[in-house]
Amino acid sequence: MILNIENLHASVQGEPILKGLNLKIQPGEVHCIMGPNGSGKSTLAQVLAGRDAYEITQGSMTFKSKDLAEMEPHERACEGFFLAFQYPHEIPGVSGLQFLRAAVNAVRAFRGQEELDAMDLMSLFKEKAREVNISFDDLKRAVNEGFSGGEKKRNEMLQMAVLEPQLIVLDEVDSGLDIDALKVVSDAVNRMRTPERSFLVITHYQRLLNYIVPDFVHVLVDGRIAKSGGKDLALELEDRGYAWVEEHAGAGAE
Amino acid sequence: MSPSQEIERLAKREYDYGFVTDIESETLPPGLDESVIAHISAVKKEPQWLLDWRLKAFRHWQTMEEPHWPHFEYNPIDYQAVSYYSAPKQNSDGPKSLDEVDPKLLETYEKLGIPIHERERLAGVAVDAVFDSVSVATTFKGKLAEKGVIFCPISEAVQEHPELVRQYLGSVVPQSDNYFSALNSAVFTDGSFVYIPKGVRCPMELSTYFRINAAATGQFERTLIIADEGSYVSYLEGCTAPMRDENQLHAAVVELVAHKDASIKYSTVQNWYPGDENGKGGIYNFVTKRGKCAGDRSHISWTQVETGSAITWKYPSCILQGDESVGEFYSVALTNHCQRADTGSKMIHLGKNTKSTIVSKGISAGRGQQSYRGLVKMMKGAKDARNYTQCDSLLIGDRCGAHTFPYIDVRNSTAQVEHEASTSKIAEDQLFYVQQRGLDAENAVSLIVNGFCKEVFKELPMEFAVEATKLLAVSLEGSVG
Amino acid sequence: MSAESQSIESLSSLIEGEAQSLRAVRHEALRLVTDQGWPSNREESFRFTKLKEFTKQHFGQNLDEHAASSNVVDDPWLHITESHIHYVNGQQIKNGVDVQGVKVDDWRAIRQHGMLPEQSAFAQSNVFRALNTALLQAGPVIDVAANTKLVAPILLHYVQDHDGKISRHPKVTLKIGAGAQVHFIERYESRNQDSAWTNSVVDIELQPGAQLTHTLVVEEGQQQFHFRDTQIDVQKDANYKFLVFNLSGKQFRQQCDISLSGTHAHTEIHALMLGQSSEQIENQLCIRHVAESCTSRQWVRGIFDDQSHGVFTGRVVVGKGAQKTDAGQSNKNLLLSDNARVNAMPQLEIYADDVKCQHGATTGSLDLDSLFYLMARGIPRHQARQMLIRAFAHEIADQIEQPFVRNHIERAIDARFAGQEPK
Repeated sequence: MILNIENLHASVQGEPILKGLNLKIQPGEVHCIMGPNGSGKSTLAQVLAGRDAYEITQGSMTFKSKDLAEMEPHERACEGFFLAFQYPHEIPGVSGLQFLRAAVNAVRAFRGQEELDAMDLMSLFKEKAREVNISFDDLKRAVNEGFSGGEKKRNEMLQMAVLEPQLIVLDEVDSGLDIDALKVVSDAVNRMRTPERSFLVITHYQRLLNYIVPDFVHVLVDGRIAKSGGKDLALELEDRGYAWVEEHAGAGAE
Repeated sequence: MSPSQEIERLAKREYDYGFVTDIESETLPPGLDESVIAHISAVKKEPQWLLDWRLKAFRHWQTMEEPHWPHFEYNPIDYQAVSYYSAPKQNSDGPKSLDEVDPKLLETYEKLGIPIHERERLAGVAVDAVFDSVSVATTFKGKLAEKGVIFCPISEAVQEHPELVRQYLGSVVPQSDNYFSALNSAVFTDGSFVYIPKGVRCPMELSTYFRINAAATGQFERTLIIADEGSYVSYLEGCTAPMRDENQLHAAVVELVAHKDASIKYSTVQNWYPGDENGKGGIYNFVTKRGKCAGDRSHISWTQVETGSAITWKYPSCILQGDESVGEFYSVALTNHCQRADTGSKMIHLGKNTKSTIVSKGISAGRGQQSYRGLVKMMKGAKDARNYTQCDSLLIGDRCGAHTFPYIDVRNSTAQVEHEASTSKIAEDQLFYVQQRGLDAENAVSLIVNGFCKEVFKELPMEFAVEATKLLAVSLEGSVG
Repeated sequence: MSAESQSIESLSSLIEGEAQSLRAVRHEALRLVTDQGWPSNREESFRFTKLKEFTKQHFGQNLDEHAASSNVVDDPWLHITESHIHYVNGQQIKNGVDVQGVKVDDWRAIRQHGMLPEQSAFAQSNVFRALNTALLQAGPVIDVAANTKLVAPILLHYVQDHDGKISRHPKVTLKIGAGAQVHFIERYESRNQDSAWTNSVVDIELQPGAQLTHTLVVEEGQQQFHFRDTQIDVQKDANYKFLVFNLSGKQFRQQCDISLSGTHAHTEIHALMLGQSSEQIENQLCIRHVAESCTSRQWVRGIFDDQSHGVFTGRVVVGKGAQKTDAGQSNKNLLLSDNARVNAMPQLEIYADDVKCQHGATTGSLDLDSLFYLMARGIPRHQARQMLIRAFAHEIADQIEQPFVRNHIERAIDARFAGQEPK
């Protein structure tokens, strides 16, 4: 199993957000989590990545049978966990190339691989940048600084492609994207799909799932998965709205 | 008529509260020495310790020098020409109820729009009114007493609750803190005292109105508010004074103490007489206001709307001693004609996870000069403390000035301090745009200024917010040049 | 030490043979110093200046014109330009400027010839400037003719290697003629760890349309005090860019006053202060918008470690007539140790109404969101920290146009934070 989350409770500043979440992801699977605003979707992504503002109060989460909670954020990344951020952070003064180089070599060092020399890295970055429509010159600019929403998301896809992770969490990767940008992003994701690699797609809208077709869809309501199903569940949700599941979840909890 | 001319015309409006109440009063001759202090203390039937405390402050004051700031010149104050005590003459026993209060005095409050009679019952506001130097009436005492809330003139508190007064007086603003606090400590005559017992949420807003009436008197009131553990109180303060040609001195001290989990909200609408268009007359408002967040998770919030006084010198501050305590300062200050204001806040962070917010909106018009002066200090123990400060200035006309002097002092690496400031003006095209949508010049300026001050007004209790908005509109009239 | 005793001692021998008018100016300045004595922390502009240790020191004057010893010929900085001027222990030892349109003299020559600059050159705004006037011995007087466009920078190199405590009071006078374009690099370096005091005065005039990029690099020893008073007049359409790098030194204090006196003048300041051990670095920048339609920008950053103390005052004064002013200021400080301290005073003084002014100041530790983002990509914490600290500093260094100088600064920054472990 790639990811196993059991009865996960997490809170931020004493406020419980996740309230007993269960989720299992096997190699090669694409899971999608949908849910209304405030249901805890992004919290889940942040908790998995190891953001220390969130406190895990109960339950467990393992990645390739290792306890995620015990790992520093960079150790999770080195193990092959990748989060594509909903709001990728701007880092003034650190160039894209410098950032990618540091990340690739850190991950390689962790895996006991030799550092790649500058030439190999450059040609790798060039190739991957081309795939996501980022010009090489843009990589010389500071990370995400002054990038448009679409550029930031493409930049996330570039990092994903370069780091070759095993589990990829896409946190609202479609927010603020026009149809062309959405296509670039989903192509990048689809290129990465292999029998070993798994995805967790977090989104508010069904639209993204036309491009990244999931194996499983889960609906998150009030910090718990209220309903699970196949990709048709997303269409049903689009039709009937979240209220339908919320009612259903409410009834179920009584 | 262009919008600016229109506003110029409107500017000529006069101070509404400038009447003098013809009331018989008992006023000490001008001058200050130990015998004057002894007299004040004797009139108030004070215990010996308080007289000693006053004299100590006086002796210290004599060794101090009057402070002077850059951008801040005024004619020297002759402290011997000021009368340090003026009280409306009354039955020697003092008023037992509103019925015994001089009707002329009540009439004054009517003119001021203060709900001191029956109306206040509807408004749900308990009022203590200080006229010149003495407290004339405190309403709603009974209802507050049920909850154990003490709200009375400080002179009464000295008699009735000496242990509380003795414990807290000067505990936040020491006698020797500054020139004016030392003077106040020596000669303070009245002011309000509030004590909220443990766990009590004060059932109504408490309010004090200050008025200087007599000529050539200073007003030196002293306010002390103590919120015991887990309690809450919201306190409002309003000030007016008659129009007089000479400058009058107002040197008040306000001390707040918030214990564990307690919360104090202190709101001021200050509309002392600002002097006339040419800078003649007006109040010198030199006030020391400070709150101590003594206990963990305590909360002190200052909100002020300053439109009056010839000179304002005032920095409501918070000492954030308890862990996770919160200090806030929201201010709108307006200087028009020849007014000068030097105001801001100090946030001293001592405890862990303490937070403070400063939002200061300064509006300068006419020949007004205004400075924001603030201090944010993060001491070593203030782990993970946060401050956010925002100072915005709005200039109306090219003869005024707006200045910003923040001091940031950070001594630990986990603290975060963020300061932002901006200065802008009301542009003619902005005004035109609003007018084009149907507002007249007065309302257009008002609207823009209100938008500018919105963040502060929303912190005021409802009735005060309405008053503040009106006051601002009046003070601003005709200010666009 | 008292300012006066030290000064009087050296003054008489210093001014021997000078023109009477100059001697009068010197005596007048000295009288001012004697009357005022050292400033105290009660004075607003010295509020945070550490004065105790400085005033305890006894500095002598180096009056020996031949005491210079350091080798400046092999200095790698010489490769960046042909135009260099070298001072060792306060004495000029080389003037290698030989460019059309640039005239470089030394004070020594000027005073010996009895040529006296205008009286206004001696405006005594504070006690340190006055002391400089009294004790000034040497310093370059650079005059760039109108419309001279220099490709290579002029390098002014001050070396300190004198044994024993000495003070030096250099004065740099720079006049950039109308329409001229100049890069000027001023570098202070110490080659020993002895205690010394530099009390420098820098006066610059940019005539209409002139452009000057001025880079100041301070790399002084752990016992070196450097007080500096800078006055700059930027005239119509002129452009003054000032880059400041405080890399080391026990105490540095600069009072820099820039006056935008002609319309459409522009100035920008980029300053980087790196503090460690118990260093104090103080930059007081004052920009006066005197004329209409001028613009100014300040970007000031500080990184303070150990027990170091940073003081930044950024004052923007918009005078009555200075309508259509656009002034911006940003000050960011990083504290890397709980014993480090920052005092920031971003001030605005505005007497005109049609202005756009803003300032922002932040002080704190590294941005946790950025740190998390880097770590989420696999970069270990200490490396991520180091990357962010360097990036923070490099943004200022990026302003330097000469690759050699930029590399030098960047290497100094990197060396400083290379071993930076989380605290």
